[in-house]
Amino acid sequence: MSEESNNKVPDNRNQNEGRKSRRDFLKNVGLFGAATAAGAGAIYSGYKYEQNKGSSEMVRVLTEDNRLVMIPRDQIQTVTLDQDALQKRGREGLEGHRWVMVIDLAKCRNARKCVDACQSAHHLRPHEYHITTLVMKDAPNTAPYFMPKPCQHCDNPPCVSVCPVNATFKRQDGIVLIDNERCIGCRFCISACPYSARMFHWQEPVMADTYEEEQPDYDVELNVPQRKGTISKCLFSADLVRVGQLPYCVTACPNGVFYFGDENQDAVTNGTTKETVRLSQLLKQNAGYRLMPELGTKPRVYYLPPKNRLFDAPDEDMTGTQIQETV
Amino acid sequence: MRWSLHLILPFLTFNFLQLNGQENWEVPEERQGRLSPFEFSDSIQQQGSIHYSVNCASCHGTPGQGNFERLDPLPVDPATAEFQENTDGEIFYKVSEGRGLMPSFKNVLSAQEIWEVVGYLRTYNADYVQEVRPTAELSAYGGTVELLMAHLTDQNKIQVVAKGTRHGETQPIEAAEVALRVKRYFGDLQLDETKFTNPQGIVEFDAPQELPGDESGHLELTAHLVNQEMFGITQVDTTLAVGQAFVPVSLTRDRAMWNVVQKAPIWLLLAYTLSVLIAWGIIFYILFQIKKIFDIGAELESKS
Amino acid sequence: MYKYTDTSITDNPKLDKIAKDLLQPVGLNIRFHIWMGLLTLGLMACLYAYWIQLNEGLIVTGLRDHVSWGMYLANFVFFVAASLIGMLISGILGLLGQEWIKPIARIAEIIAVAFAAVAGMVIVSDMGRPDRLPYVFMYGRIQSPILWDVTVVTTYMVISLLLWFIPMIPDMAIAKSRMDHCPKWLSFVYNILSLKWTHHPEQYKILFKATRILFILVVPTAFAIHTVTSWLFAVNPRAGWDSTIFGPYFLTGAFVAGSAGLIMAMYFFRNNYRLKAYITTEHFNKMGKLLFLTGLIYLYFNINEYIVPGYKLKTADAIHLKELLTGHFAPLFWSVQIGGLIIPLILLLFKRFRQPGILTIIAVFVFIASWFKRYLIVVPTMEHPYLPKQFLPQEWMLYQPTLIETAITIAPFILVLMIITVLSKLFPVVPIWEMAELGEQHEAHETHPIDESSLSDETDIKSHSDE
Repeated sequence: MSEESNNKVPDNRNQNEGRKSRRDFLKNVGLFGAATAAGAGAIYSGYKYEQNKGSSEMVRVLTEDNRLVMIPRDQIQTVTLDQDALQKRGREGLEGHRWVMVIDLAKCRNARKCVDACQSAHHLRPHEYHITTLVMKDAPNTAPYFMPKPCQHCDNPPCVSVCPVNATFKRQDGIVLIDNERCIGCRFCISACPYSARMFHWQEPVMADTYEEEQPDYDVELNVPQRKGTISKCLFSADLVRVGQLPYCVTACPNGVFYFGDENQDAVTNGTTKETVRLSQLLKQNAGYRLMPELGTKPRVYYLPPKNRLFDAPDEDMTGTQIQETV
Repeated sequence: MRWSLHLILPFLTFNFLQLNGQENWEVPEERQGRLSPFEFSDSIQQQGSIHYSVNCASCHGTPGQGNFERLDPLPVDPATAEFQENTDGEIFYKVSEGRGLMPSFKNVLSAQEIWEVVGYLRTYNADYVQEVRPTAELSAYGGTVELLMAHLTDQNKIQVVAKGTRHGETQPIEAAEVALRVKRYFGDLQLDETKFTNPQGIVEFDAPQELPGDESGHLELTAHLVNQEMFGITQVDTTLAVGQAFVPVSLTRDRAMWNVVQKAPIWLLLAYTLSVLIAWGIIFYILFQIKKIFDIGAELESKS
Repeated sequence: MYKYTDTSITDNPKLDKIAKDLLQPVGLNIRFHIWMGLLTLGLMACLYAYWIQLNEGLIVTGLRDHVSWGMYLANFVFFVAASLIGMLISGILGLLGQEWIKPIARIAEIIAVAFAAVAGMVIVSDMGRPDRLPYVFMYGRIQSPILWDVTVVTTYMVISLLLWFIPMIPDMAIAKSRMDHCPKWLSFVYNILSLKWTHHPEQYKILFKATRILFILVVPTAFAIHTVTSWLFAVNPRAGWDSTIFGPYFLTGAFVAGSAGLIMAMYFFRNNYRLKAYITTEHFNKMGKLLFLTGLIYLYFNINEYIVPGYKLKTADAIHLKELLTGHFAPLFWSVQIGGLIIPLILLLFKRFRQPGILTIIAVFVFIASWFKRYLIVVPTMEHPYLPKQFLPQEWMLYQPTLIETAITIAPFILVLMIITVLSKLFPVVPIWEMAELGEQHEAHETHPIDESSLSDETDIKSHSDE
């Protein structure tokens, strides 16, 4: 039940179990190395340092938990992160941050570059959405508008509550992720999500053949390789955020619709202009709101109303869409 | 369809104003004549084309192809004569500042990169002859420039002092434009407007008291001189306790229905465990009773 | 310690005839083999469909991102519902001291065991990764209603199995000495299952005590199983599911479906197993009244479930209700509500419609309507999410079950029939000793096989009511 028991998760790529068992064994050995590198390794290197004092130059390194420590250069061992280490850091998230997204509806013209960038980064087909844009119309006599809709990364996520196996989970930095090595495909989370933000791999993912050849390690922060019979969803590009970059959709937008940042730092950065602004002021000055607040889901995605729009309102007869009154 | 008329009317007006505005995109005079500090070589133009395809092509299309997005107002095809009438300085200004639909790229592309884009766009103008900025203009301030930053705790202000050393003599720099930025995760946040130094070379910014810093309110600040052409890249980085002390709280700290099993609500843990124990306790008791039935039979059998 | 062997039941003169009547259908005859062969063929066809689904993924079903729960889930709810009849008959009516249920109680338990056991498999057919089923036990989050469901379905199945088996122990002892013609292995099974039963009063005492405890335990367990199943839907913030009465609504619906199922089974056994003397027209009359009562309560919950949101017409509820009442679900909705609930209720008021044949026909309608009712609970809500469905292929918009999906949905029914067939052909479907005892009570109360003084607290199970 515990998180530590992750280590015992059998690698579940069922097609190749025989072929991969030795590889998995080596992986688990590798995990031991990675897991102890930060803890026991630090003590050991401290001991070694006392012995070899002065024999080696000291260098500063950043540990997994974001501490800056000094170790002798000759003590450095290169560790490649294997799947279990990726899992561990992916489930913990980044300490001290609370990621938040602001979407300015006044700027969205349905270019759908966010959708394209997301789908190519996460290996999805054109109708498999982590983020999509919707044509919204709030009342019969109000103008329609375009609304990009990623996962809302709720602080009270109904989808996570109902997961029977802890496959989808919320991290300390607010991101709701899905672990497709754990997911049993019951789709309870799809039923629970009022924002229709989740998708399911009804068939083999589009890049299945490539996975077959290359056997890439599964990164829970990218949810690649995708797996048939499991859920996939928007990840706030946790892999990019970890290295200080803005999410794929945010950077891809040509119109400055997306802001992304850290609520703890009260700052969000626009993905198009890279301008950083105060989150609190942006929301205050533009009357920011969240989707369906009455459900108590507490989303981490804010919307700025489509006021003083820079684009025409969408036509009602947009191809491929059914404009429905929103609720 | 009644709403559509209501909708279209203001839009027509809006579009009209926009179009009008486009024709009169006035670039401040002092910026019009600005020139690139380097020559638009082939490699520079090559770089420019990469920046263009990443940042501009999604709206403006491939120059000369007319495949720009049908937006309102229409994005200009940079290959047109109308566009090429802009001076280098005007293109630089428009890319840098943006207006309306056109985003500002000053935080995305460096000055060098924007010039590279200008260079690339000029490949669509056969008549263009580049005028390069004279080198004499490059270092207007002959000497070293230094910035100092301090926290005036009594007034709760951040003081930045600009000093220049020329011919072995240090003196304050007056009327230099100073910007103050604070480091945030995805980029620097500018505090306040830029300000100009007084005759003592001093400029003061209000401390951003309500901006969250670390546990003791420390913020990583950067002050720099805006006019790089005059002063080069001059900046000072300091960490000052001028922000709000902020202790981050993990979102997964408290017990909740959505949290992991170990952080499930206590009442649920108790209710579930107790129910299972009671039900299965009774079931095992019943199984034990069945065994007793067997034992009685076995005993009777052995007696007979 | 045990000084004597009680022989009153084995000396009962009626026992011979009752045992002969009730053991006569037991045994694997040629009809059994043909029937099981046909079922196996059908099951193989359905398993082939499931094999395709395993290979291709759930793409072979009509399910897509918006309607991601469909027939499989409706089927699961239906199976859980049908299994609840065991609790209603043994638990509630048994505890209320209703003696007339004795000949049909074991049939009810067989239905309960079969449907509860198969319900678990139904839910596996809906899983994207059935190979990861063990993860539910390895990494289970007790906050998830799925975990509660797994726990409580397992518990209910075990209790139902015990409620089927424990009252059958004396019958095993009776049968092993009387079935000379039966195959050796069956005698061996009887011998083991009879647990050295010698009709000793002390053994009876334990048996009554155990069943009485189980009667009490099965009531909350069965309430839990279907309440939790309803919470699979009610915990989700969606129009049509976001209801506080979903627990009792599902529970009463389950009693309706289960009663109808039991009536069908009774009719089958009465005619095919020649049990007319034991499952009488009076039993059908009483089951007809029970079906009426449960149906009436269910109607009451239906009124609450549709009229309260219909009065307020909150946006999402309004769309949902419109689709049900006048939209493309309307034909199905009204057929189910009128043909499967209102007309049966009216007919059941008259005694002539509570005769075995006609009652069974009504039960068939109610049973089928009960399945479609679950479909109407699951699918329309998923077809109308809060946010619009856009930029999707047309076939992703509405749910249309596929042939493969239908085959996989039929498979569990075949399995249930197989389990019921096996259990009813290997073991007597009507309790022999209880029938003998009932007959005896009609004749002479004082020659009761049980030492009454030692059972003072069991009197309401053993109360001598004359039907």
